[in-house]
Amino acid sequence: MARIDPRTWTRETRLLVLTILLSVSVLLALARLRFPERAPMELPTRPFQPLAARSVFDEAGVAVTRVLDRVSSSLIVVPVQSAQPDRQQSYSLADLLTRPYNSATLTALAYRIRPTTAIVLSSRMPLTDARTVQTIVRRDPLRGLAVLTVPPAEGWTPLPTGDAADAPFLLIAESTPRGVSMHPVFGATASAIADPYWNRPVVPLAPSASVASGALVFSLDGAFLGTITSTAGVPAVVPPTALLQAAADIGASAPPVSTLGLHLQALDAALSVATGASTGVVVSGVDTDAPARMLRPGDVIVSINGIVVSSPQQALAAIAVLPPGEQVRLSVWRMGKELTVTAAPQTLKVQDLPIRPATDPGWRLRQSSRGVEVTAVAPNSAAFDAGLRAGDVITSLSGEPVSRPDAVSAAYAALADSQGLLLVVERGGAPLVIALIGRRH
Amino acid sequence: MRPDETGGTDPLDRAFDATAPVTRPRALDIILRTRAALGLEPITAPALLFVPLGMLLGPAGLDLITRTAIGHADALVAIALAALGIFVGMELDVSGARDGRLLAVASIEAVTAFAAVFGAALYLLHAWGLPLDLNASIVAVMLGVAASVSAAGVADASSDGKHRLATRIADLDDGIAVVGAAVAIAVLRAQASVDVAVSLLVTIAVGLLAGMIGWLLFERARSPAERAVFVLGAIALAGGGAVYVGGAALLSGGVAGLVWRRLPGDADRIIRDDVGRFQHPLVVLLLMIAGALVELTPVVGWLLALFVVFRLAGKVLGALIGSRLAPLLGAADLAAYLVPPGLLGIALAITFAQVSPSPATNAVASAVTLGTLASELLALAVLPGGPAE
Repeated sequence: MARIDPRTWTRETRLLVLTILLSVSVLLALARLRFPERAPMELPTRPFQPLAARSVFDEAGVAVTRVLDRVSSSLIVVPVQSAQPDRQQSYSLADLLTRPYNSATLTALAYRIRPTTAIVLSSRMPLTDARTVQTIVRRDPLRGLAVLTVPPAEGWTPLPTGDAADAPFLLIAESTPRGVSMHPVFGATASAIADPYWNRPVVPLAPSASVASGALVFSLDGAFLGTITSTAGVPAVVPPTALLQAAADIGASAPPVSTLGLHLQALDAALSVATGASTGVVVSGVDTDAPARMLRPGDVIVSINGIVVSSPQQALAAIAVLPPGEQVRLSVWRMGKELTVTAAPQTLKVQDLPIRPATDPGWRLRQSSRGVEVTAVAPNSAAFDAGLRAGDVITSLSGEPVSRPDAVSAAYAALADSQGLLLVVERGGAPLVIALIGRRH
Repeated sequence: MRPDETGGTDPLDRAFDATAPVTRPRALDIILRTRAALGLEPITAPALLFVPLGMLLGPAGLDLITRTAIGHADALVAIALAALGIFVGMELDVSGARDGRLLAVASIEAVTAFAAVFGAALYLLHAWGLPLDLNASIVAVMLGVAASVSAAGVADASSDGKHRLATRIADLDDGIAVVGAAVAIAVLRAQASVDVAVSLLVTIAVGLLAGMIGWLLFERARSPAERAVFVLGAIALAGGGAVYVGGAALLSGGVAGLVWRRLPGDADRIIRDDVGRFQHPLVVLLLMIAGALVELTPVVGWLLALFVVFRLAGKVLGALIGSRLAPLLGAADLAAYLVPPGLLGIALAITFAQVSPSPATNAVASAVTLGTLASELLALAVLPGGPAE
């Protein structure tokens, strides 16, 4: 066998062999590298971006497409309960021609925080969906934040988070009947402000920004910036840290709801003149064993722990999220003088809530010439959820004409849980069929 | 400007008398003297100036050249590509044993560079797991084709024999790359193998048609202005027709150039003279658009490293193998001359991005454009000493 002696090779041959060996070595060395699963910055970097502010919006369309593609595995469209379903409207051809079509939004957009866990912020209750097999773990009715278990998504990785206050443009993701829609809006208009519902400041947007509560917010490079809420009538972004903290709290246990035993009402112009207060909420009643029994009707609560309150809902929510037993400082306007009082809120007991008997669907009925008239419907009752409203006249019960209120009430009382009762009601002169579902819990 | 590739000395060169001593500012003179002392040519490849300028003004930079503007420039880019293809086609006229041997050398070095980059890309794309929305073999073909072209710098009557030979070899390898690019584009757009052949044939037919029309019209023009209109029309037909049928404007232009070169008459001389009138703007347009199309993403960075390293290895290997057929030229000299890909590499990158726009083709185009810059910079260092001042 002939021996290979490099010393006998020409210069070209040596170069050739050296180049081949070098190339193969480099090839094998490079092949040991792996492209990162998720590159730190997938979008093109823009070294001159600070000099080119106008380019950002020119390419918003491109950014939307890329960001939507990048975040899609983190977004889940979930159905939510409709408080006033559109279907409970009787239509004639004339109605169809004269009434505007109203497509109620029956979905909300959930954000995946872990492989099989998502959160959704919606004033409406999310529904268990057979298609996505999602189930509701727990919901905080105060903030409207629900934690869901969702099926895992292939290739999902947590998105980076950011601060909405730093972004000149925001991408708003909303749910639509056909999936997820994303559009750009201008960023924050003011610095972050305190919000009673959340334990961290929220970032307000322009009041004219076309964003709906519960929409998800992303930056142009695909970072999650938070969820849209409404604070003092202005859309604002709840930061991811606040959302995740709230989700962890409600995931761990049902959050306690605190109360000071107060009844509040809004401060209108006349009350403002009478009390001398320019802002705040008016105390309209105090429970006998209320922690804030030092207050009396006519007092105006200006701020709670230094946060100015402007509506009864905001004030009650601010108190509700406080830990029970912890002292809360109230700034109160009484007869032209400002007082500071402290009180320790207590946990709201279940027996404090008005509970209807299971056989009461939450209506008041009376006999009328045309049948049985519904004179009042309690919110969130079985009758309300079925679509019954005050003024409706029940003309038929399970196909039989009806004229006595006790017959209707007895028919509902005889229903088993989740069993349906068909009512024909007359509303605005038009007939309407309503299914009243028995609720026994 | 590289006369052998883009049509010879143009009116701007004549206007400024490129051979005459140039009065330069003192600072520039010091830089050039320093470069000369280092043995580097006192020239700067146009890509080194206009591609970074395009990046600065493009969507990734100041966004003065917006994506919309780039879209509107598609027609002009097609004409520029066709014009470039015409010069490639005219240089493909091979006659005599010497030219035949040079074509063999060019083929060897081009195929070697293609094989080096294609093979490395195919292996590494699978190993790296790059997130591309195209088949890895198509990406590897595009990178390989773009790597196979060379531009051996300026060669004219005053250049030495080695330089002229290297320039001729670099010109001949362009033809192979143009055909390879046309095949890659046909594969990229085709749904079936029959479509590939049909697409290539239709593109060639467009080139033949433009060539025949030009050949019939150029010499019958009654004034230089009318002749210029015919020339521009023929180029626009070659470029626009190819894009319309989904083919490569470089290939249709190449076919037209070959027709004008081979058929009797002065069509080739006319086209050289007249295209010279708008040669500079077209080259600048191509380079600026290429720069504006560059996207700086991690994927581009990985492709760029692959392209530069294995193109260099392929060219060195090709030169070492090919120099055995061209004894006049040493392997090291030929390898050094073949380092810069020149304008055609960038033109191929634009063609891929224009014909089949997608994240993967954009990444390939960006990597090839940046790789061309890197190779041009490397060439400044490795090319044999430039002309004496």
